[in-house]
Amino acid sequence: MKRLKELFVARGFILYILFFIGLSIVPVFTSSRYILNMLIYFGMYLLLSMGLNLMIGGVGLLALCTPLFFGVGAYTSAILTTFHNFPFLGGLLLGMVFSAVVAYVVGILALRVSYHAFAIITLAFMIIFQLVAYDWVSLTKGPMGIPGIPRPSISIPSIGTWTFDTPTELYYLITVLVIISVVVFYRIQNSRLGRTFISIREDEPLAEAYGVDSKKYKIIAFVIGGIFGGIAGSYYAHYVKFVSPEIFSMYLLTTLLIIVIVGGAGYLEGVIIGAFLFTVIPEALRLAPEIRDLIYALLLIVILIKAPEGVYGRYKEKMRRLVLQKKTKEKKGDLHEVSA
Amino acid sequence: MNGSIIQYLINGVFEGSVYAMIAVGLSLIFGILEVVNFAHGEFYMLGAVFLFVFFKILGMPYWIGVILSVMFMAAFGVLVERLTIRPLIGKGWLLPIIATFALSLGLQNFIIVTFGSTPKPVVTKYANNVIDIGGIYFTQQRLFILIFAMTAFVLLHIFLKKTKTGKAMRAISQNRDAAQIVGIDTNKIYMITFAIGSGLAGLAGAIVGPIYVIYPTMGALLSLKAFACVIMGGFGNVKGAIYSAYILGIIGSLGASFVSQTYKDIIIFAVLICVLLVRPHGIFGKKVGI
Repeated sequence: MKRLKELFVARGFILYILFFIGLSIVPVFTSSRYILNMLIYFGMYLLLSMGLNLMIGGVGLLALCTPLFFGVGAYTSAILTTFHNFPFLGGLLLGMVFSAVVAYVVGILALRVSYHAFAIITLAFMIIFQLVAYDWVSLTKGPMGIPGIPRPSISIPSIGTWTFDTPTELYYLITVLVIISVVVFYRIQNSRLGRTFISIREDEPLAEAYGVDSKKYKIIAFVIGGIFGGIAGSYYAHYVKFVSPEIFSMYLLTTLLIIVIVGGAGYLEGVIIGAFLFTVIPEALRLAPEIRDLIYALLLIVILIKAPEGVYGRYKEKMRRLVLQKKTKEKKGDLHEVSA
Repeated sequence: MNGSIIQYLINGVFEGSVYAMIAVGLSLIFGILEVVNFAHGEFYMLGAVFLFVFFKILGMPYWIGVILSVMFMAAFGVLVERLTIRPLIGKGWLLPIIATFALSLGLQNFIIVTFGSTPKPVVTKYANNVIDIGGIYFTQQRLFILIFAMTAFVLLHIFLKKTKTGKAMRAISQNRDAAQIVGIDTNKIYMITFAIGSGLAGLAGAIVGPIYVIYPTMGALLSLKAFACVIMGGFGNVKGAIYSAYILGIIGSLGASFVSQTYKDIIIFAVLICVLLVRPHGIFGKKVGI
C-alpha cells in the first residue's frame, strides 16, 4: 500500500496519469484509421526510444543496435505465430526472451570495448543480423520476408478468443503496452537502479570507486532496452502483418537517435515529446522519405551543435535557473530588510 | 587449383586496398581529432559521384576527372570539418559520433534526391583491359587500385614523417594539450587531416567506382568494413589499419570463394568480433585509454 502511494503521489507522476488518460480516450473522439495508425506508430517508437534512452541517457552507452532487438522480436513473433501456430502472447513472450538473450550476448561481446568502438561494434552486430535475415532463407524466408502474420489474439480457455482486428482494438493493445512500459521506466528512473545508471553515466571511475560494478549495470541496461525493443518488434509484426530484413534499418536507428537527442537524452518526458514530434510531424507534412531523412539529418546536426541537451533538457535547465534566480533574489531581499 | 588460390589471394589484395584507402582516412581522423567519422563511406560515394559528373556528364578525360574528384572531396572534407565537427570538438565523445552518423544519412539522401537512387555505371577503357599473368586474371582498373593505394600510403608515410605539418599531426595524436602548448595550431591541423582523409576516400571512390556501379548507399557497408579494419588495427594506428585492411580483404575473398559469396561480409564481421574477444585493443593496438 505504501509503495502504491509512493508510486502515484510521487512528484510529477500526475502528469503521466493525465498522459495515460489522454491516450486512452483518443478512440472516443475518433475512429479514423489515419490518426490511430499515427498514434500506434508513436507507441512503437516510444517503446523503442525508451530502450535507447536507457542506454544513451541512462548509462551513457551509444548503442547503435536498437533496430536489432526490434528485428529479433518481430522475426520471433512472425516465425512462431505464422509457421508454428503459437498464440500471440507466446510469441510476444518468446520475442522478449530472445531479444533479451541477444541483448545479453551482444552486450557482453561489445562491452569488451568502449566508447567509439562500442558504437561501431553494436552497429556491426545489427548489420550481421540483417545479413543473416537476408541469407538464412530457410528460417527467415530471405529478402521476400514473411507475409500473412496473423492479427494478435488472446484466447482464454472456457471464455473464448479475442482477436484484435479493428484499428481501435489494436490501438488499445499498444496503449496498454505503452502505459506498462512508461510505468516501468518511471520506476527504474526513480529507483536505486536508475540512480546507479546515472552515476555510471556521469563519472564511471568514481562510481566504480564507490563499489558499483559498472559492467554489470551496463548489461542490465542493455538487456532492459533489448526487451522493450523485442516488445515493440513483436507488436509491429502483428500490426503490419509483414516482416522483412528491411526492418533492421538505418532509418529506424536515426529516427530513434533523433527522438532521444532532440527530446533530451536521459529524460523520460523528453523521449515522449520527441517520439510524438517525430511520428506526427512527418506524417502531417507528408514528405517524401528522402526529403524527410535529409531534414532529419540536418536537424539533428543543428540540435547537436546548438542544444545538445535536447528540448526537454533545455527546459529543465531554464526552470532550474529560474528557481535559483528567485532564491537569490529572496535572499537579497532578506539581506536588505536586515540592513534596514 | 593452385592457380585459383593465388587468384583469390590477388582478389583479396585488391579488395583490401579499397578497405585500406577508406580505413587510413578514418584512422587518421580518429587519431588526431578523436572523432569517429561515420560519414566516411559517404565521402567514398561522393568521390564516385563527382567522377561520374566530371567524366560522364562533363565528358572530361578520366584522369582529370579523378584529380578533380580528389580535390573536390578534400575541399568538401574541410567544409564538413568546419561546419559539423569543429563546433562539437571538446564537448565529449558522444556528440561528434551522432553528428557524423546524421551526416552520413543526410549525404545519402541528398544524393538520392539530386542524383537518383538507380545504380549508374561508369565505364572507362581500363575496366575491360584484362591482364593475364600466368593464368591469373585481373583488369587494368583493378591494378590501378593497388598502384594508387600503395602510392598514396607511401606518400602519406613520407608526409607524416618528414614534413613539419606531418610532424605536427603526429604530435597532436600523441598529446593534444602538449602540442597546443608548443604552439601547434590544432584547428589548422584538424582541417588538413580532414582534407587528407576525405581526399583519400574520394580517390578510392573515383578509382573503384568504374569497377562496380555508382549508387547512393554504395559506401554504407564499406565504411563499416573500414571501421572493422580501424578497430582491428587499434584505434588511431594508421599502419595497423592498413595491415588489418589487407588481412580482412584476403579473409573475405577466401571466405567468398570457399564458403559462400553471401556470407562474405558476415565472415569479415565475425573475424572482427573474434579478434576483439581475444584482443580488445586490436591486433596492432597498444593498450590506451580510448
